[in-house]
Amino acid sequence: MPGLKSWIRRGMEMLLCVALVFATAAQAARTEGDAPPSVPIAQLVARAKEYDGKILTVEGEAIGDLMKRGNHAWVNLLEDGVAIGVWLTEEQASQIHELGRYGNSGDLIQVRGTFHRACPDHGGDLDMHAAAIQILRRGSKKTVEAKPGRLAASIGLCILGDCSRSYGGAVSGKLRAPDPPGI
Amino acid sequence: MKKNDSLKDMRIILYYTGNILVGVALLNIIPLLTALIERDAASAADFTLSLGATLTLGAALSLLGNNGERAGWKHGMVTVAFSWIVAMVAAALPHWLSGHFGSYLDCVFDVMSGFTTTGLTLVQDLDHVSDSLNMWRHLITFVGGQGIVVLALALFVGEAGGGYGFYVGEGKDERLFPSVLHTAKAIWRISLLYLVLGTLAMWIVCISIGLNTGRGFLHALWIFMSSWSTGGFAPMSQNMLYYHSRLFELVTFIFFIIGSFNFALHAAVLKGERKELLRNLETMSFGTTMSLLSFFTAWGLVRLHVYPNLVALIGKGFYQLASAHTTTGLMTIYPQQFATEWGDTALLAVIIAMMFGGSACSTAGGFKGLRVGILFKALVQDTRRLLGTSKSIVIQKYHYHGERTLGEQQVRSAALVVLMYMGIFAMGTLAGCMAGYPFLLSVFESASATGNVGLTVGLSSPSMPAFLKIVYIFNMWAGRLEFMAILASMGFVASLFRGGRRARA
Repeated sequence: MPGLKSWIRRGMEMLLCVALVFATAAQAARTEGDAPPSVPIAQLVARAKEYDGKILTVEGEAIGDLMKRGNHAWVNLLEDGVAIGVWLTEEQASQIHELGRYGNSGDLIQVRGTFHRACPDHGGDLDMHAAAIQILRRGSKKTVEAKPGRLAASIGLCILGDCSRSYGGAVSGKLRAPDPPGI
Repeated sequence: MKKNDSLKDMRIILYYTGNILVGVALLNIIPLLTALIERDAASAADFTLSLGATLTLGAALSLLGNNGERAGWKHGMVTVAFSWIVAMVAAALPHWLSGHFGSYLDCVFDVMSGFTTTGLTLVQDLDHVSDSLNMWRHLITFVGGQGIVVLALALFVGEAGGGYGFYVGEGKDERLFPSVLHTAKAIWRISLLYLVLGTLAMWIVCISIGLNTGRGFLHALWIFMSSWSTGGFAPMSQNMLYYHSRLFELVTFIFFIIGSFNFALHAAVLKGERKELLRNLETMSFGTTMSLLSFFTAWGLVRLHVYPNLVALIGKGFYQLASAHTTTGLMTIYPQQFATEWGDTALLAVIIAMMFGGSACSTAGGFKGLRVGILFKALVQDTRRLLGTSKSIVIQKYHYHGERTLGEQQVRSAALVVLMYMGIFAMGTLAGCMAGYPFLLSVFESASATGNVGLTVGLSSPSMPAFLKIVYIFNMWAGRLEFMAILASMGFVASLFRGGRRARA
């Protein structure tokens, strides 16, 4: 019975599809459950005792300098005005291209790693030891332009200040009493 | 006081204030050059504007006050108190133009904190501040440590009649030479010598910990300025924690300890009198209080298991305590960690250290080791008097650049200054509590502002109430000038009112 055969085959295919969907969803859910929670840096610093020694995820802008130490490096991540030091391998550090400074926004980075309230390996620093990093967004240069009004005012005020000072010096020369002897 | 005399006095004060302001204006050239070297036109325009505005104001004041009269003691005192306020307002202009501050009050707070070498800051997004603004902030700290009036004395004023009044008014009363002008120049020579050597040493350390040559130089210069002046400012928001280096911390520790010593002691050591270092009452006092407070800090931290090993205990506990005792304010921990991890014993030890402070005639604040030593010696003298016969005369000696006999006047002066410190410290604490902050945190922050320290538990932030910012500004100013110039100014203002009332009557 070809009709029955094809009906069974279709049924099997559908079942396979449903099983696949369920398996994918289950896997996704398991991965979601295992992924370390993402914690804001400010919260991490404020409640350091609570998070001490835990595997976490943090996100922030890489700022300042990439400080190489042997086959590792330090980078500081800034989020909402609070920064934290991250201890990376040389390979992880090489993924960071832009660092946040004046006129520059740094790479936005996600770090998964172990948080230490008082790291025994780094003199008691509050830090993160990265297990993996991911670049979420590349940083970029920002142009900071001078305001023409300020430029004009600054030149005018400098001339005025200098003239007043010169005039004051001339008047002072006329007014100043001679120094008493011995000074 | 006759009306004409008051006017004459005011003109003298305006003249010298104007000159000091011209000195402050010229300081803008250094950050301006930094901006020009880095081709940062926006910052260059800001500093040119600040230079022009401050120069104009300074020239106008000195022109307005110029009457050919020489300054006396009283004028020196009042000029110092007045010029610090005017300089604070003028030097805040680049801060305001940078756009990194919430209000002009925040800017003047930062500048007063810099000039008084306190180190509390209300800057926002410090990690993206221009190098020229960082140069300005650290330069203010460096100049403030030696004294802005001392700088003006050395540059413009010359040996004014009331030179000693200017000098004492700025919280320094130790003459390295008979002439105040020579003393002012000697203070600057000592500081510049250390600036060159210190920056070089820090630069090598900066490169060794991974900063590039250019940024390493700037960070070395700024951190040296901050350490030597016992300031506490840093170019990054994490303060010393940014560098993640014990070597870096050690070098800053050495510089802020040296910076907290009396300039007279530096001069003595540079002249080869090394024994003074071990016999001086101030260094003895500092050594004793530091040892005792280290014990209490360690006790508190160990009992609460705050740090995992001895290296961490020293790097965090001892560093923070030394930073407090020298009134530096550099930090290797987050402000919140003081409040949430350190516990009451260690926190109290740090508060006491902040109140005691460094040496007299140095860049440090607080009661000063000399006064603590004098009061302790007076206590010993009185105890010996009580234990001796009623007829016995007890003479108490101490070593301070030579053998000296403890006199009633010295004890009285020391006690009065300590009493006044305690008064404004209590006022600052009360203001903190009124703003809704917990008692111990209010005590900590008030001690930090009054002692010109800069350590913080997080209260000093742009969001704190405006009245608390004003109270802390006053405490930093009064603490730095050690009250004499402020009391003289109050007396002067009162005499103006009395004179005005008499004239009307």
